Formats: sequence, structure tokens, C-alpha cells
Amino acid sequence: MATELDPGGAESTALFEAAPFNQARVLEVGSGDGRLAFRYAMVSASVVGIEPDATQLTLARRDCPASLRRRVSFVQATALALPFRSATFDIAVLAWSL
Amino acid sequence: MVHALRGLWRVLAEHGTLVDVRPLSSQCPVEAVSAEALVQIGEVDGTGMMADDAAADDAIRQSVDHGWFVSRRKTTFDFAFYWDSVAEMTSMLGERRRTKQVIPPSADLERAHQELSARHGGGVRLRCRTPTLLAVYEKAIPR
Repeated sequence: MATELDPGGAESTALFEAAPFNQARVLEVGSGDGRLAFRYAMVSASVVGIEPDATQLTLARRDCPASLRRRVSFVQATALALPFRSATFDIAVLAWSL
Repeated sequence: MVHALRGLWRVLAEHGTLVDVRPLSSQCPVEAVSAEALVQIGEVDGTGMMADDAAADDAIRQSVDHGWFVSRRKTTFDFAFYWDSVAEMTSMLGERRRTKQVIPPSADLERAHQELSARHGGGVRLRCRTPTLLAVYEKAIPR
């Protein structure tokens, strides 16, 4: 079984209660290996994860389920220099990154 | 951090939502868990990172004071980590910024884990539940 993170889904439950992810354009800051993004991407319109660590980005892109690839992307960036136009997203998630 | 929050304010649409999810500095029990047993065998002391929490809280407070965001909700939940072995646990904790000190030393944890596994016929996993903050803010228009 190896390592398991939040198998009970407490984080996802809290997130879905916190914000309207349905059809939302979501930015995730500190997306890491994509673990969290994959959990809400199935209901969102689009998800962009930014992550400074190239190794984590590679894992996220590799592990992104085929069914999510059209609406999920991962970009090497930090919140200090966001490469996006103003008013691009409905939700921004600081994922263990503040 | 405040600069980053200003950037997030910019890329959010009107009335957009900012969600801040992060583990809180704390002392978390390390538990050995099986279908038959739940025993605390150690602790992860994360209190050494309290300064990080304070800095993050301060940045958020400043962004609210600037009128960029309005606080809408704050809650906490337990984020659970499960491992098959002490080696897995220490390896992962070593990679995490909130990780500080595992008590007792790994060899003692390993011994306790093996004793429980022998007693319960295997299948004993290690668990650590970290209190985690989830705070929600709405983008505001500064006056």
C-alpha cells in the first residue's frame, strides 16, 4: 500500500465545502505532483497548477489522468510573478504554499 | 508573501475566491493503526515552524487590511498521512517543510512498530494526523 495521503478525503471535502469549483477556472499555487488538483479538476472548467520545482512538475504532468489532460495544465512559476492576464481565474488555491 | 497575494488578487476575477490551505504547526501523535489496534508510539514535533504560520497569517492580515480580500470562512480539519514503515515516514517527513523532529528516534519507533506488527500478525500501519487550516477569502475592490 505504501504511503497514502488523506485517504479519507478530508481535504477534498473541506475544499468542496469552501468554494464553488463546479465549472470554475482554478489556479493552484504550489501544485506539487498534482495530487490536490486532480481531486477537483473533474468538476472544474480548467485548472492551472503553478510549481517552481521541475521534478514535481514532471510528476504532475506524468500522473495527470488522461480524462483530465484537456483541462489541466502545469506551469513552472511562482506566485511572485504570475504569468497570467488579470481576472483570469475564479478560484485561486494556495496549496500548502503560503 | 504580501506581493504574492497582490498578484493573486490581480489574476482573480471580480468576486473571485482565494483558498488558503496549509498545515498548522503542532505536535502530532504518530499512531500504529491496524484493524485491531490503535496505539500512539511517537510524535512529530512541528512547533519549530510556528514562525512560518505567523508570517503567513500576517501576510493575509495585511491583504485584508489593504482591502484586497474579505475573509469569508475559516475552518480546520485533520490531514492524515499513512505509511507502511518508519523508513517511509521519515523519508516523507524529511521532504516536507513542516517537518521537524520525530520523537522518539527512528530505531525506537521501528522497534515499537515491529512489536505491534508481530503481535497483530502484520498489517500495522503508521498514521500521523496534522491539523490543517482552510481559510476562504473573497476578492474585494479596494476603496
